[in-house]
Amino acid sequence: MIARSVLRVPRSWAAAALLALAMMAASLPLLFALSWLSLQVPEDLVRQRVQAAFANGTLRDDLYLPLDRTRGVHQFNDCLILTMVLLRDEDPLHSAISPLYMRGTPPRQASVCPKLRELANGADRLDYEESYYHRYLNAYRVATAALLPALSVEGIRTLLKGGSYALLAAVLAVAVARRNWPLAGIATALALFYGVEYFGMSPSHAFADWVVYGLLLYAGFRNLMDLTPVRFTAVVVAYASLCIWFEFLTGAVPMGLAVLTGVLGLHAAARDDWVHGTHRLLLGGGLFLATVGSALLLKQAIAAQVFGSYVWDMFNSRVAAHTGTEKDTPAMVWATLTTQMGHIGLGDAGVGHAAILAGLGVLGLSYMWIMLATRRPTLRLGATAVLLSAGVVAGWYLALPSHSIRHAIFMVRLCAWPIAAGLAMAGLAVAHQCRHMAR
Amino acid sequence: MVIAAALPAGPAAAEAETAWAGCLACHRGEAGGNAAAPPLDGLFRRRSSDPLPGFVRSRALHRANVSWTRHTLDRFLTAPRAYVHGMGRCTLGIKEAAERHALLDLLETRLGGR
Repeated sequence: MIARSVLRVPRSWAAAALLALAMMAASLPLLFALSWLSLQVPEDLVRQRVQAAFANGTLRDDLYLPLDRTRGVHQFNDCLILTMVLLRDEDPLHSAISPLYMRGTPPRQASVCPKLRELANGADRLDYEESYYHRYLNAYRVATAALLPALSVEGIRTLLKGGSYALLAAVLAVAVARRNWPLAGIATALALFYGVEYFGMSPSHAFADWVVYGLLLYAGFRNLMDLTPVRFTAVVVAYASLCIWFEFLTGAVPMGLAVLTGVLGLHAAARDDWVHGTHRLLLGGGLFLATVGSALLLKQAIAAQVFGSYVWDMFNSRVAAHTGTEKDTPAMVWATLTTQMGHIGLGDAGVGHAAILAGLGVLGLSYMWIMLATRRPTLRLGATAVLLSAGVVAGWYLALPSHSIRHAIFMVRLCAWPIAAGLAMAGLAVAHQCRHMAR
Repeated sequence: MVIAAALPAGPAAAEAETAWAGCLACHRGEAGGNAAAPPLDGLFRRRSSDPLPGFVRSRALHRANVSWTRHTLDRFLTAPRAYVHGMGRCTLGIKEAAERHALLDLLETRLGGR
């Protein structure tokens, strides 16, 4: 009996490991196949959609539209993605792996939105510099191309933003119905402070957001601690794969990791086996990082095989640029973040600052309360995991300071997670106190 | 004379001079060479996609958008067609590291790479 149970565990974990490897290996071929299929969307249709979007004001030449609730803040990436959909390489295999985008050529050195407009209106491609976008997996291009036959650019934006709010509302409804107050806190904080109002309609943000909201919704129904090893592996690897598919260095990976760590912490706290909880936390984080890292590196390796080994030099130079520091970095990070704080502060930078300070305060105080008020190992483990999940955001800023400065206009969104973690931690503390008093 | 003094001496330097002469068979550089291929002046400040009036660029090089530095040129000169697939006319590369590095020293000196 004992021998059988000892044998059973390794076998299920061996199956989980094999599944993880198979899923990681299948992720890129699947994406490339979908990418190839998306090339079937006629160029003329894409051109018409873009022309109509510029004509009715859905797209504008301005690259950033701060606090714009209709078009979104981040038009630059929207135009970039539509350019990737529009431009096709002569070899479909090339386009399926790494899409083309345009750079300016003197004297028409216009930036990405004006170039997209000109191209859609019939400008000669030879007037522009074209390059491959190798360094990401570019699934947002595939998803946007898939939606264009059915929807205008405005329609896509409406769908994405509506879908974001609908998913968050569903998470909140499930959390309230199941009296899962930490999860309700997370859904509320993200709905209010994650800048859905300003970024939720953008193809460069929304698809990745949906992945995160999807995990939260799943976590509302199922405790990840209760899943079999195989199912747990499948969920985490699929989630991590989608995070890296849609990562445009807009924060899908750090947000994905932070949310996964937080959710695993909350689920560990709801059970009584702290060894099992620790195991799942380490495994979940490890699987996430392994999936993301392997997909990113494998993409570069495949691109280098197809396009040439220069791909690695391009990748390394971008990593160096993003991880490098600039003069007066802390001051610059603070200054740029400060100016963008309104995007997570309901349109008001002061509210954004106050929400982050309050969130961090609640996070710290609730954590201390839990550590002082209970000796239950799983609750302490869960609370520590939630605290660490907020640390993922700080870690990202420290790891990529240059990128954080240059792209503060949207990287500021990550600061919403410590607020959500604060509410989740408060929910944990309140739930513990209620249980204690009920006894 | 000043240039000669700045260049490395030895067999590698001699091979670098030979390789440089090979470059000038197509490219114009410094005060000599031909105009069959883009000029090499200012190479270290350019990208492979930069427009050069009067020359039809390789589409593969154009789309690669490589920034020419000592490191990228070293890798390019080792095996140009492996570095950027789809290049048309080009050299077969310089396999010997010493010879390649001597040529890069020479290019940096003559084309203002540093």
